[in-house]
Amino acid sequence: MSARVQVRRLSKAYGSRPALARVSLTLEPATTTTLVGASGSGKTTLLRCLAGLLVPDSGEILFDGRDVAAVPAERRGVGVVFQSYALFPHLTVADNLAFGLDVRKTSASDRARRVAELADELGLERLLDRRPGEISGGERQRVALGRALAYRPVLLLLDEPLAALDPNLADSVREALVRAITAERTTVLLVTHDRSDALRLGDRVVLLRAGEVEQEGTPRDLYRQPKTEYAANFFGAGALWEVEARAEGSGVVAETPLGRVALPGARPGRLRVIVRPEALSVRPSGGTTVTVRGVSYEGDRSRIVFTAGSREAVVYGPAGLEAAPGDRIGVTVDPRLLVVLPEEETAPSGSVSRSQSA
Amino acid sequence: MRSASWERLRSAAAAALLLLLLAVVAAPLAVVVAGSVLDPRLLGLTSETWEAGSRHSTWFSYVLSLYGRHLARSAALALCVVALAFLLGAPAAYGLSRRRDAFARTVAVLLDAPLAVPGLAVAIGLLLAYPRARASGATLAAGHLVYALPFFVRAAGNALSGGNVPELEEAAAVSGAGRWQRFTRIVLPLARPGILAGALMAFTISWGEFNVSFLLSTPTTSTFPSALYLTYTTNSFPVAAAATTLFLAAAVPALALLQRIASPEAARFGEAA
Repeated sequence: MSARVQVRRLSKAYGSRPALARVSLTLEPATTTTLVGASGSGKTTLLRCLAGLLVPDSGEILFDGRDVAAVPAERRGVGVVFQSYALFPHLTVADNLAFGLDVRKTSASDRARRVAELADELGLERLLDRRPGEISGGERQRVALGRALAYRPVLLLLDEPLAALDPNLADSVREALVRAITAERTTVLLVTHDRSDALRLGDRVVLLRAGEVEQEGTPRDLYRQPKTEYAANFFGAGALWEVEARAEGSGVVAETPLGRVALPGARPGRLRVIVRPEALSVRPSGGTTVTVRGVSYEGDRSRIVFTAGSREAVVYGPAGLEAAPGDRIGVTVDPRLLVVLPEEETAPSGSVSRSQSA
Repeated sequence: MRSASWERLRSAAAAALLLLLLAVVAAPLAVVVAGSVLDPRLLGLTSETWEAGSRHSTWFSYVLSLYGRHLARSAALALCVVALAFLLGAPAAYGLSRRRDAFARTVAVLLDAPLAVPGLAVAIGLLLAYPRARASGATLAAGHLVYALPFFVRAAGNALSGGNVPELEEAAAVSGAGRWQRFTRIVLPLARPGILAGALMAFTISWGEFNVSFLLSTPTTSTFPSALYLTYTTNSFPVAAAATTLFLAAAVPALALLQRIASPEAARFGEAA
């Protein structure tokens, strides 16, 4: 039932403002892809094009090789969980769940079986007779998910499904979401602006920036091997070092603000290295001595901004660490956790300016 | 302790004030209603006596025989105005709830504009514009519609924009509902309380409208409120009182029903968005 979805060179502009610019990507059957990006990067526009709620200016959308441009939303067989859930306020939870079955004239016995199955899967058994106005936010989210899954969609689209929930609730809802999606084995595209949700919920991750695909790959690829400075900083901000790497013995070594560091797998030459906080640790003795600029207390750890050479960087210190601006502390680098960017980024082609990313 | 008793005193004073206000407003109506059923001499109207041996045993049957046609005409006119308000107002409300641009705002303002114009001006305008339509009563219906339509559109429009209907229609569309199913399963049920409220408002406005009716009606199209006015100026008090009581008997239930529909439904839909 789940479709292989291909998007080819899809473009859409609102007036003169481009929202999507020649976006191409493939969603493999029965996998979950997360679509992540800053607000205004075109995530929701792409989702609405796939759902059939928005007509793209150019490009193709193929479901199992078939162009769906002429297929209206009601005949695409796509399930959508809207950010606001958009539950029907005049229908009970059971009728909301069965809406897609009712408009398809599903037999009463099939309808009852599917509603019972979804209610069990999503823990909604006790709520079937209530109306959306009478249940909690987390419960509404589960009803919205059930309504979108009821008619076994070929593609399930989720628009920021966790954004409206309070953080304590989001953890349990996230687990329920993953369970339900896994049980239904459909193709899923989940839109989020949350970096960690993008990494932990997706089999694959697509990073969108100003209407273009910045990078796509596995969560590990995007985090550990970002192709651009933007992608690197999107998933984990760090300091940028520009270093000169030299071949030395069998490896490559660079002179950095924190001393000589071996860069395994890098090629000699001018390199740009992103130094995320997790690549650094505070040492009671040893390491490179640096000057503390600022400390913010975060409970289980302290965020320490320091300067080494003329560069600022961030390191997290253990909970018990007492440090004040002006103090000298020792910092070491774990070279395996450094991100070495590929050589210069190629200048953006086409008219969409990269600097306008919101 | 002091503040608790102070609170109690304050709420008692507020209740007393409210009752007093109600009494001031309701007293004239009470006198009228009482006048329609009691012997006029009990109200101190000694000059009014009912001719013995009349074929009418009460004021009501007399009023009905005098103004039955006007009552029927007013009811028919009000129903006609409701139907027109629905046919014109429901699509307008749907359209206005869908567009939030300058055009929609302009239409909304123009729709409300007649409310600020005196009935006299509206009536004269209609008379000058459509002199031939007067005899058929079409001008009268148009005059009522001008006042009823803004209320209808507002009531229906509130129901359509309050629950975020456009997004619900999209949700229905992706779930597999075609245009007709979206209309019957989503839009219509969500708009129903608003349409009902609007229809009742249109009915009560038309039922009680006097200014426009008085100027536009002809002897064959005269409505009940106009007749009521003539009764007070030309007939005895108990007759006018009985006529007023009949008038209220239709208006008060309609208003009570309106109150019932408007509040719980609106609260329920507002919450679920």
